[in-house]
Amino acid sequence: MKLFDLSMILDEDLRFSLREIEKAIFFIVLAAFAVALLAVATFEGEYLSGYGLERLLEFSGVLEKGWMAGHGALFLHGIQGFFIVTFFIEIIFIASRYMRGWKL
Amino acid sequence: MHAGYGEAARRLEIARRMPEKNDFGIVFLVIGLFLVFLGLGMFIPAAVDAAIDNPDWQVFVVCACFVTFIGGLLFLLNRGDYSEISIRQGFLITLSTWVAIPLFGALPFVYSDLDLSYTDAFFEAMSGVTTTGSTVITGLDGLPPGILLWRSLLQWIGGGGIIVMGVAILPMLKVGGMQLFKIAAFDVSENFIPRSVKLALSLSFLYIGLTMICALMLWLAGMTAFEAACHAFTTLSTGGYSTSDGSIGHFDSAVIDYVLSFFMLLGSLPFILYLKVLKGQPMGLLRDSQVRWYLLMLGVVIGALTLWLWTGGRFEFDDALRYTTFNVISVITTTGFATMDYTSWGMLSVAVFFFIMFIGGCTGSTSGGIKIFRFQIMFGVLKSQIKRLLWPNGVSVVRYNGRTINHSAVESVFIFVFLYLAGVMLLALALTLTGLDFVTALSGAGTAMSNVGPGVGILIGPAGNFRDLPDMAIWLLSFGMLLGRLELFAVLVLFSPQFWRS
Repeated sequence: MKLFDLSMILDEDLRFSLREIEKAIFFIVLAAFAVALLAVATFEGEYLSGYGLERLLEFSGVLEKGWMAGHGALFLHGIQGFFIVTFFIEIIFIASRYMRGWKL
Repeated sequence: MHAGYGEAARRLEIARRMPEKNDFGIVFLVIGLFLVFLGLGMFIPAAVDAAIDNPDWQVFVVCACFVTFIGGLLFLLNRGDYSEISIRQGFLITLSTWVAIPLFGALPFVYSDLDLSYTDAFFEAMSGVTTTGSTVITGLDGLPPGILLWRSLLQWIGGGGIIVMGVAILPMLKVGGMQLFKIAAFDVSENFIPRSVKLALSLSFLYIGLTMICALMLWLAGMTAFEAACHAFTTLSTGGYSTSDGSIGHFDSAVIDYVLSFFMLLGSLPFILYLKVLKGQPMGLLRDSQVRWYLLMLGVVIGALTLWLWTGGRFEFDDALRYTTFNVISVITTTGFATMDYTSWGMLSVAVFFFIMFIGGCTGSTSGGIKIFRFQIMFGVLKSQIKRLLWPNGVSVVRYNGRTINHSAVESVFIFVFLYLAGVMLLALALTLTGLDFVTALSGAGTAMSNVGPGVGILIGPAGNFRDLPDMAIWLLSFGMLLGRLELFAVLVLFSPQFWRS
């Protein structure tokens, strides 16, 4: 048995495509930026919505005035927790849509 | 007339023996492409340093411009009509890319305030890109954020690269064992290329998404946003670089330990199976025999060590469970984070951690090591041999994941394991010749080839550092990391004369 019998590998007629490599690298980098943007947009959106809701609750009297000053850390933790769940769902949703029709 | 034919034939023969211009042109072109993106990536730590007014941002900007320029030059000078890349060129591209990225990625380490020699800087970058996690840098807690982020980014790029390469390139080169995962999405027999690009994209998307979720959970668990981002980069990639000399022990938080353990585990499972889960097969992961074996083995090792530490009175049960879970997962997934010096737990733990560093995670993950599927196939062969002894006239086949494995696959597994162990021995021998003691040399060789990070012993153990090693040892270990990361064959194939013959 030869340890390095490469003929089976090297003589195969399989080929890569340079165009596909270029395309893949470009789209992977693009995907990284897109996911980062999605994360920022989702977080900012949820933070602002949460802040708006808190102001509304303050205004309606459900929460006392200046609630945020004393509970800022708790609020941020809540938003972070909510964000993890929504972001996870977004990722699953996008990936599932992209893979629609695939046979795995 | 006769002489003319002779001359023409001679020229043709010379031309046939010479490597085609395209052979190297296309290699330089792809390296150039990767370097352009690497250079652009250096602007990220530059921006972080600039934001806090750290002068290192200038180093990153200069390095980024230089690397982008060199990459751009290589790309443009070699631009041509290359529609296809042969298997031979595939090997060249694979190896040269994994050498070129640390070669240029090391530059910020050389010119920043770290004042590292190029040898040390190259080691740091190679350790990053191969997701090994061994470091020559001390005083991490006081370093500017740009350098810390750059180390983490190198590991993240390396982790992503190995996942994509594992499904898109290595199966075509018959390296890495992914050809055993015969599923429709990347069956190499037909229409491979378009599917592999889509597959690479979906895996990258998943890798990026999981990294972000990991960062968010670490942030929620109490890390700062910067620490969370850096550790997320090095957790999913099973790299193990930290922002502190005390590694994860610096945070001393059970929640952080468990979050990291979970994501290290995710990084060490076959990413391709996550796609199955996303496609509505939630049990897709557990149906895979490699994953089942892996989880079972993890459970046994963690359970046994926990009981040993608890009954030995060293820790309370919850602490014993926390420390063993984290450190065993860290070593077995070849991440290399540490919460404490587990070599101080006693000789049993030294032996256990030394052996599990060779096992590694699953194929198609970011982990290094021998990989679980190879142990499964070797176990299958052992079972088959025993059956043959008991029933000499019976037919026994080796099965993996419910499929019969052919002889060449079994052969390649045994050759890999033989070469792997021989490589570790030879590397250890070479390290001993540089003046290292036997334990440091053997564990250093093992940790480099398995891409784990820390070794065993005072010098390079979980509480140690690779800075005090001689330069020759540093270069040898860098080579060992590359060998391990590219599953040996992708590197060794280039040393074969047959490869270079036309």
